[in-house]
Amino acid sequence: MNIKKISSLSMLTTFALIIYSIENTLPPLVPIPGIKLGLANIITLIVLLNFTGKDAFLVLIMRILLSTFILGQTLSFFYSLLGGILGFLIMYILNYLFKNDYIFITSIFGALFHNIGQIMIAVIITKSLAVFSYLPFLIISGFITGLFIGLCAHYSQKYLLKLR
Amino acid sequence: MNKNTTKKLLLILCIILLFVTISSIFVILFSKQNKTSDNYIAKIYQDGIVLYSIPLYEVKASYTITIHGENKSENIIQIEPAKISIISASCPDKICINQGAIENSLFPITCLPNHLIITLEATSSIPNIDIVTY
Repeated sequence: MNIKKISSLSMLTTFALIIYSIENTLPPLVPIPGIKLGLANIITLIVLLNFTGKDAFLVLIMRILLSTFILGQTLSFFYSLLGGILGFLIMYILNYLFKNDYIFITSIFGALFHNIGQIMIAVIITKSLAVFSYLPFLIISGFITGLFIGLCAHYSQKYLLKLR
Repeated sequence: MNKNTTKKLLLILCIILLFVTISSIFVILFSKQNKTSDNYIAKIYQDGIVLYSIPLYEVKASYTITIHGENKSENIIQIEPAKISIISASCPDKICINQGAIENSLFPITCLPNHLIITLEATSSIPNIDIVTY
């Protein structure tokens, strides 16, 4: 890792943190728990496209850890962690297969698996299968937000290439 | 991987996506339509154990119950005729309060910090007989 890479990765982590904290202060859009835009995932996608999968994973884990320290929500740490890792794994595999193309498809699958991971943690915490009735809502919201986030990353890529 | 296989993979993934999304839309529409009865029993679970089981169709006046969990967590649940809501919670995010009152079995109220779930379950056999004559 050279200095340029370290500084750009840490800058992107900071961006992700800022986006995450701002999004957290917004009131929830719909009264169903678990549904949110996930804007910080734009940064994960950008790192995945411009750097390696290892770097994207590092940025993701650092963002989750630091946001837990700053915002102090220990419970949402576990959701974010399992959902984030599950979503990242599927995005990494798909992005590897597609060779950086079709980023919105990758992003939709990332969002869907993120939501599935969240539900899994919720089942473990509440020891009840009742939370599974949120799954259809979370799938639809994951489709919409994943598409939006993917398109954001896709169009930002055009301007990031100029910066290089 | 050549271009042909990428196209095939893309097609398969799109089909999976469409299938999953459309089927979940159908699940929501179906469960919304499937409101066979207006007689629900509210079940309050904590850690998978039923704490209260309240037949909502028998509630005439609204009242509240307080549920204590581990780490001094506290939830105040308001029970009204035919609906139920959480009106106070000790957790910071207050997602359960924002969910408002539920009156059907479409989705439950959850308070994950306090491991609490409130579901409404439709009763199949209700003692809804007004009078019995012999």
